[in-house]
Amino acid sequence: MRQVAILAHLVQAVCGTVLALSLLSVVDAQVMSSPSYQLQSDSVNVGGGLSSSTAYIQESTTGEIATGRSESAAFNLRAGYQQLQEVFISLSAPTDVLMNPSIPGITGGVSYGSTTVTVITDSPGGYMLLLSAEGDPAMQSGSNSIPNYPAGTPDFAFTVPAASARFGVSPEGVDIPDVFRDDTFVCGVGVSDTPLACWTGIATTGVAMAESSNGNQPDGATTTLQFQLGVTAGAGVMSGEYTATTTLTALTL
Amino acid sequence: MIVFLRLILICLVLVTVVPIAQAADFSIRTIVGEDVIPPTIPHPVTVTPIASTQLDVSWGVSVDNFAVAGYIVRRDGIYIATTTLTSFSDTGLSPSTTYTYQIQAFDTVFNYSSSSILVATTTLPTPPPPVVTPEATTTAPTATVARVVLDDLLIVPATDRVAISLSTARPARFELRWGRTASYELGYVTTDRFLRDYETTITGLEPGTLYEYELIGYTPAGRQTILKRGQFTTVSLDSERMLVPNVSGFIATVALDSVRLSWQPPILPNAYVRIVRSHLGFPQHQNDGAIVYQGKGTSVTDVDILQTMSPVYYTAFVVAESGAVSSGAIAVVYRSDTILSGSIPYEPERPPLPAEFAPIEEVRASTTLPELSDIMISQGVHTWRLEDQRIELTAGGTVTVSIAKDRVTAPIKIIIGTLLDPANHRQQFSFLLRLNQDRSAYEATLAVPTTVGVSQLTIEIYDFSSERLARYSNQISFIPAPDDPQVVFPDIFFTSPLIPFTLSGVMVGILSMLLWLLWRHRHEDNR
Repeated sequence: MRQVAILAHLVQAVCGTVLALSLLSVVDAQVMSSPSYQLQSDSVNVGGGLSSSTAYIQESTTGEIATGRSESAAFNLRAGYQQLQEVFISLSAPTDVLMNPSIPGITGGVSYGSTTVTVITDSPGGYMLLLSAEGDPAMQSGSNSIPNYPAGTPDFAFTVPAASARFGVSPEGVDIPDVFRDDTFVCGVGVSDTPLACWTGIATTGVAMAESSNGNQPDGATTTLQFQLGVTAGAGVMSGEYTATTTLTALTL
Repeated sequence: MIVFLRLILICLVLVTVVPIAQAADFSIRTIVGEDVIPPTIPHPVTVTPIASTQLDVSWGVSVDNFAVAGYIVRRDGIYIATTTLTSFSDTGLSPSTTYTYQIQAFDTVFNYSSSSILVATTTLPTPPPPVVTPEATTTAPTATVARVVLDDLLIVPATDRVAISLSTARPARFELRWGRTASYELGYVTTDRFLRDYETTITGLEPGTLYEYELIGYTPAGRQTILKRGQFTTVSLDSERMLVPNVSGFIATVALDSVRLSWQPPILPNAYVRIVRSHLGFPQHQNDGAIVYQGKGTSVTDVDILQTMSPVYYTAFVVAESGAVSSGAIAVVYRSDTILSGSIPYEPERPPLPAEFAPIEEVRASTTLPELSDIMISQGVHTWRLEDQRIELTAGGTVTVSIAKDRVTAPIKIIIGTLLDPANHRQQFSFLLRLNQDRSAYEATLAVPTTVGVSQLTIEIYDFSSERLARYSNQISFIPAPDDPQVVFPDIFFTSPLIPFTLSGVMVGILSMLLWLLWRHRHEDNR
């Protein structure tokens, strides 16, 4: 009888321990994310408690002190225990592009231009750089316009069919999307960033010119946008000054 | 009742990640058709006498239907300058002499505007002999003596340079001298124009070093004033300077007129490889030629390049996340018909293939070139000299080859290191030794082959006419890496914070159970 009692107490104690450990596993801190939310940080806190008197009621915890925030032109600091980690992104101002040389209206020709921007972000999810045009097609002069380069998988070489015209863009840099990388022959495959290769049009809905899944501060990432306008003989492009008003948007991910 | 934990608070900080965006607009413009419209005439044009030898010309901007590309400045009807600015300082003139100026604008297709109206101005008369006022001052001048007054001075030191900007109340000419001592022995810079704002950068300085400087200003009349004497200290380098290893196995293979380049990148998080090409010689920095490849891959094909140039020099740089750059791995290729036409500059010499390599030192009689013993090889805490009889490197590790800068005082263009593949002595990999960050040594860090065996390291020094000044060589051996130490205790104990917490709970539980059993035994025994 005494042995049975000891065994019963032993089982009771083991079950109690297992229950306590199960509770501990439930409160295991985890960092998680979903497409909509990201849990930046979490913690398990043990201690503190409820105190009361006739004059007050206090509930306290132990161990978490946030020391405050500091700011400068370049940095925002949230110091202390798991303060809100704000993300930061900056986009250098792109210069206006003057395509050179001008294109003779009758015989046609090719004109080039480029601009370079740098994106700096501390976003742990990285960033995306989008280029969008105000008009469709992008390059316009009054009621006249020059067609965009076709959308879809970029063309490795900038090609313009007979008696037509096209205006396209090609990004170059460390963070260009895979669709603009090439194997020196075809875009969308390979890892090369062949200069002046992989061309596409500038849509009003935006085209990704760079993307990264990591933060890059303090150096940032530089992307050069190469523009090309091709007009073949007999395209019927009306003479005039054509302008594409475009917007670059750097977005944290 | 035993209480294990009084209270458990679960605190989860849930943060909604709201995308943050920055946007910027810009325009892209082009002209289709003939642009025959010139810019408008620059107006108004003003000419200001600044000194006995200088006149400053300025003008209003021109407007074009597309874009103004620049302006032409003519003095007395003769072209003297083209500029994209709207001002120009004309120096080297004669005192008390009248000059006339005209400005003309042009656009991107070189349509020229008509010339502006003629504007004539006379330079100042010859100044009296300069009077030296030796005292340093930043205070305002006396009412009767015109001299240079320093309004503002900003000194921003970096590791190897210092940026200095200053402004004065009136246009002045400046002279800046600097050195390790108050004799300002290291150098000086002077301006030949009279300016109110002046910026300059002194380069070639040593990190973490105190320098003395003296700033002198000259009025247009030639009066000299010591504006400031002071000191600045350059920024120290980080104590742990990062050495970025080169790619390994950098090979260039010719296929018809194309060149296939392949390599193995070093294990370096977020680093990328940038390959630069030139037909003049091995690119010595990452902007020293055309970019052939940039990314994290292991091969690229330079299509049809041999149709346009031969030989072709390639350098593969590894760019670390910090921005630090490796010294560069190199390869050279040439069309099959050019190999017979002469030697290829800098082409690393194919070494002989004996079973053992003897130390080689071929140096032109000179005290300005290093000796075999000056070439250092280091791996981890071990360091060898290239003259050592036994140089045993761990296969698969990284190694740094360096030559102290003060041992190479001859004018040189390039230092090339070449390592034989221990598995195939007909295969070799070459790399550059470049001045390191603190400019103390020519240096290269590279990942050594994983194959165990005998190899040979060759160092060659070339001058600016591609003549080889020196060649050093010796045998090195790659030995197996020592076995990894056995992990006695699971690492997870230290890496997962939950495990020690859980084990502590288990131990407390068992102890409590034993105490409770003991108490029950004693209780029952008493009964």
